[in-house]
Amino acid sequence: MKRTIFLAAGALAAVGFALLPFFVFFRAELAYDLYFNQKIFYYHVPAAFMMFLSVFICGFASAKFLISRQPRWDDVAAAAGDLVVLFGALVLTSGPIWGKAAWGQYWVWDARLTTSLLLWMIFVAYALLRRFGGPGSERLAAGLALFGTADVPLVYFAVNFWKTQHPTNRVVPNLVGEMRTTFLIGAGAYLCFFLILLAARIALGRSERRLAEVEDLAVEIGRLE
Amino acid sequence: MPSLVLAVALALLPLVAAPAFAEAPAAARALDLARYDFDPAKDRAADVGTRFLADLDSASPALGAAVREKSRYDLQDEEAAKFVRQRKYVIAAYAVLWMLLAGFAMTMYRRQTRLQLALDQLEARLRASSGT
Repeated sequence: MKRTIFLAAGALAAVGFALLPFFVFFRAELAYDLYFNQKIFYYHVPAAFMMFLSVFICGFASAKFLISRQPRWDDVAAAAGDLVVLFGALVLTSGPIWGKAAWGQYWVWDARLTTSLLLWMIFVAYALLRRFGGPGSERLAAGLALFGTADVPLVYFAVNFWKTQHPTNRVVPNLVGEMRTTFLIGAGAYLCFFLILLAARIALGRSERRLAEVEDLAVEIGRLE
Repeated sequence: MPSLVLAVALALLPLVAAPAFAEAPAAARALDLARYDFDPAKDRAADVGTRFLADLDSASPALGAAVREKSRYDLQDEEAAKFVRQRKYVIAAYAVLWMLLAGFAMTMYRRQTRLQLALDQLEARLRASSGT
């Protein structure tokens, strides 16, 4: 069953990513005033959604781990934490490139950009803690993930709280026609790809943990030195 | 002296202004410009222009078509310049996105390979220790 879902998500992601350039360049209308550089939007915004989704999954799994102390929740949190770093990197590179085309500069210390960078840095710290923290760092990392999750509303509503240069949250709900279709195809493809990466990363982390447990057990029962 | 300069200027005025009047299209001079005042409460940015072109079309269809043609050329020039300028950013953004995704997939693949290697080594060590 899991394998079928995995394959179906893979097929959908492949179809979505194959269709997306066609829709982006040949079907979606040119946006008024932004013109051609608006095409970055169809990859940038779904990546931002996936970053938020990863943060929520990481936060939820970390909370479950802190409550239950079951390692399977820690595996999920670690996998989602890596994906926050990945999708955050996508957002923080594609966004400034769009900014250079639209505003004439790569970076402005605008509230949305700054809070997004902070969120990403929290999860880079999380990943470093997981990698180099040693035994017992899982709980500290889980606490950090919860702290990062609390930052998401601040990032999302930054454009409402402060006067920012970044476009508002009304852009996506106001999309019409082929622009909307293109965005939905992009978001769907990203979601399927995200699910594949998450499942693969969880399986990898779980296998690494089990291998270490088996090695420890083998040493303990005297089968290994 | 100043009055002499003024007198000469007044005498030359028709000579200077005449070509300007001659170049102004007859239909445009007949238009009531007050109709094209921009009212922010009522008008969107393009409404005044739309109104003007509709009036121009009814007064002189050929002139209306010429204005449209000129706008189209200007727009094409502007769009082409923007497209050329923006294309490199779109290409750069797409390249970076796919490179990051490929990098992540590569990292996972390497970890998977290391894991397989560690499993093989563990199996070999267990076999060696049990003598089978």
